[in-house]
Amino acid sequence: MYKYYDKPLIYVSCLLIWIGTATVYSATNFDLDYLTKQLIAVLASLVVFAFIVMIPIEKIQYYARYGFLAALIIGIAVLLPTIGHTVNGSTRWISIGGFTIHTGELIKLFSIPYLASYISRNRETILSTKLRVFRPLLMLCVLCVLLLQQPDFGGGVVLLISIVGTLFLSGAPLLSFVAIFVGSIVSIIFLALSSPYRVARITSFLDPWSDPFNSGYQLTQSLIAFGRGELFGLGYGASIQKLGYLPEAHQDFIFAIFTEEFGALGAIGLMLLVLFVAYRIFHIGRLAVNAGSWFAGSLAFFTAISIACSAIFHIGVNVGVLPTKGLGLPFISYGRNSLVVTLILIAIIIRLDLERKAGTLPIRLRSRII
Amino acid sequence: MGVVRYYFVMGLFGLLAVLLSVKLLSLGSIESEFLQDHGDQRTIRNKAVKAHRGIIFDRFGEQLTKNDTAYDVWINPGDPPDGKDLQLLEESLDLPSGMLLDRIRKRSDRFFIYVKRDVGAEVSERLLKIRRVYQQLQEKRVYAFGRALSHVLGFVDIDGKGQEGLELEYDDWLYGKSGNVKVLVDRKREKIKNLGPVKGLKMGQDLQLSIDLHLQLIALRELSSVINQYEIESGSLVALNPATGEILALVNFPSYDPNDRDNMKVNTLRNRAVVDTYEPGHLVSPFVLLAALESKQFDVNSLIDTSPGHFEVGARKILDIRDYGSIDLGRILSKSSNVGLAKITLSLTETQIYDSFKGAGFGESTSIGFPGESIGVMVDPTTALSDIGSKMEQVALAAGNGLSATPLQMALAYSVLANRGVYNSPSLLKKEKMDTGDRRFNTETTEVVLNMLKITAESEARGAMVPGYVVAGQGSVAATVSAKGGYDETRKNFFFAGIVPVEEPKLVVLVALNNVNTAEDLDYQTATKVFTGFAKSALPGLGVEPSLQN
Repeated sequence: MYKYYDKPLIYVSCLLIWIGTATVYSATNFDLDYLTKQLIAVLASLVVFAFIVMIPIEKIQYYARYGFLAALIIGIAVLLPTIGHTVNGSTRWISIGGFTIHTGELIKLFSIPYLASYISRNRETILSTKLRVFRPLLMLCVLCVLLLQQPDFGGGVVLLISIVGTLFLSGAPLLSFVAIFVGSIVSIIFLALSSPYRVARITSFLDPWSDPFNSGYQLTQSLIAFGRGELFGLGYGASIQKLGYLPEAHQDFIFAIFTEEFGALGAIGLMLLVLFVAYRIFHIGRLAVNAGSWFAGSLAFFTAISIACSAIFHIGVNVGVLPTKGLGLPFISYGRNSLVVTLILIAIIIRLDLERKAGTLPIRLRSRII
Repeated sequence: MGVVRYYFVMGLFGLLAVLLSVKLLSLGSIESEFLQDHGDQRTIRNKAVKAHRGIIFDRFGEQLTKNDTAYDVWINPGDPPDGKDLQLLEESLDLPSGMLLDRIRKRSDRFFIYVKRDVGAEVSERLLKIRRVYQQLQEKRVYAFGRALSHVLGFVDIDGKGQEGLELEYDDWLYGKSGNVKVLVDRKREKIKNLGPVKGLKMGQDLQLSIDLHLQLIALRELSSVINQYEIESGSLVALNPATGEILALVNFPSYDPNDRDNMKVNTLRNRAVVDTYEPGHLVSPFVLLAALESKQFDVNSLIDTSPGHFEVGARKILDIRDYGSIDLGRILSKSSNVGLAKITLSLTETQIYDSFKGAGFGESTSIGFPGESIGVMVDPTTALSDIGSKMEQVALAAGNGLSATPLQMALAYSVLANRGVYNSPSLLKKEKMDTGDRRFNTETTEVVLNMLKITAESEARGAMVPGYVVAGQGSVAATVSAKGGYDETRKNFFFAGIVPVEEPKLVVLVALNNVNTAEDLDYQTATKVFTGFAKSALPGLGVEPSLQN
């Protein structure tokens, strides 16, 4: 059955991985060390992909309920002094056996099937009761808060939006979303103003040119990259900003470097490619729902929204319409954890799509699994 | 399921994508100029491209100067290294502790202060890791042969500009002009690539001297050895190639090491051979005879009655060591008979001696282009106020007292003689093309005088004989002028001018030994010692075949 895999999704994903590796190589100024690490990550991701795609959705659906607990444990553990690694002021990593695991990605990974499973099991109640939607929301908010404690502002907000979006698509009553919406805005504003560090970030973001050497440095350098790229870019490898001028060129600001090399038109192209992946997963999700599986569908929706959100946020930060969040661009930014997790999710998406086509997708009628 | 919701979510992301696209296009077009300007401010610099100073070579292409790289270390007082780094810097450069902090405070408004200039490559390496300490590349001029060529070459200052000697005279030629190039730099100000052509760069040009390095080294050795042996105050040696006028060697004592600027003493800096003037005394006698012969009033057999050995011209009393009686020109020369010379002079016209000396180059600029070159002084008998005054001046000239000259001029005069009367302008630079020269005296008369000057075993100056070669030469013990005016009886100068080999001269050498204490029982044979020492090594070195059997 494997030969019926969704071609557009696979092809564009491969294309993006290739673009990502090449761009990271350029952004690190052709550092072979980074290139090797990235290629190993790509290889590992592909291997993991191959394994995951063989797992029946049924199994995932069964174990998904433990996702919350797993995510909770990881989220708390990383904040404990001996387990979590602190890098640059944020405690995001746990090291196990020589590997450093990015907890934000892992929490996301476990939250997705959990929420999908919850929605799948509780659809009627979600549809009917106004307040029922808040139960999963609250549970997951705990996870978001844990992320924000790291602090992983970007990861937390994307997770929150993805959760809200998925619940929205699951059919919860609109009114509850108004409340959620208002609540989110309030809490975001509250969080943003809660620490002087964040306030400074916001004022700097609003007018980076007022202090281009200190607080506005990274943003102004990013904007300069876009300005230099004009419409068609300087050409692959010709970025000037990567020569020590733009910090985090290979991660949080890789879109800027890409644009400097391929221009605004190239940038729009890349954005559309990433959003296409999100769209395609979205589409697969809808087909899954129509075929009767809310688990598969919600899983797909969550993934799609997460990818689209990350991309929009990353680009938004790079062009200066959003304050700096420290978010990577899916497929492109240098981040081995992120790549592996992304490919795991795509593997699951491909799998559920294959099962749908093959007709073996577990469908829930009422509360029974068929 | 909610199709509306589905499309709503898609539409929302689509809208965001469109908005971002608009922003991207705006940044890439409308805002791009502003952004690129800002970017260029950080990444583009005008870098000065230093021209290498020209190299100075000897006549055979031996390299006399070298451009080493040195570094100037600087810091920015507005953004200085922190305490620990500052200490480390002071230690590495051997500076007193706390000095830099003090300087930073005093010049806090500047962006640039030198910490130490002219630092070698090793120290420079060590400083590379100290943060906020920067280095500027400089060229350091190194003189490979130090004391031997110091007076001729001179030296440059810390900015590479000539200060003395040929380095000064030809500074424009050697220095070149720094150029400019627009470069792209990375965050650490390291150049990534050039953004355009180098503008305005003029490389320094090389200079080739007439000096023969080996002769120069021999000259310094011989001069120093005699001077040190007899503890003489100072001296010079000039060696010319009479056929071309090129200066093959020019050394002075005392000398200095131009590489060691910190320990230079002012009295060692003067290029005495070119800058100091002395009364030549009997060194000019041959030119009196030349005047006599050229006037046709005298010939090789003419006799002059010098008795009773003393003679008066106006207020001037002329004295010989003893009464030589009636002697020919040759004897007048060999015995340095003042009476003879005076009587010859007075037989000639008012200007004949003066013109003869002028023809030999006395009182004229040599135009070798050396800064501070002296021309010397010569009394002009035509300007005397009375007839007797004029006669006195003529006689003074003939005695070698009425003029002063540099050792170079003295060498040049003998060069004209050696060249059979043809004057070739002297040069410190290698002559690629020989000029035709200027005939000042007749060939025949110069041959006669040269013959008289030949040194044999019977000559007074027999110490100047060089085995295997025929030498013609003249020595002189001349008076020194005292600072108060008049002569200083306690000091005298020794000169010896040698021409070798006489048949076809390859070398004209002038040795000067100055301010020798009269109390010491020395005569100009000390000068001939220098001459023979030099000639013995120089002639084989020049490939001149011996003409005599030993």
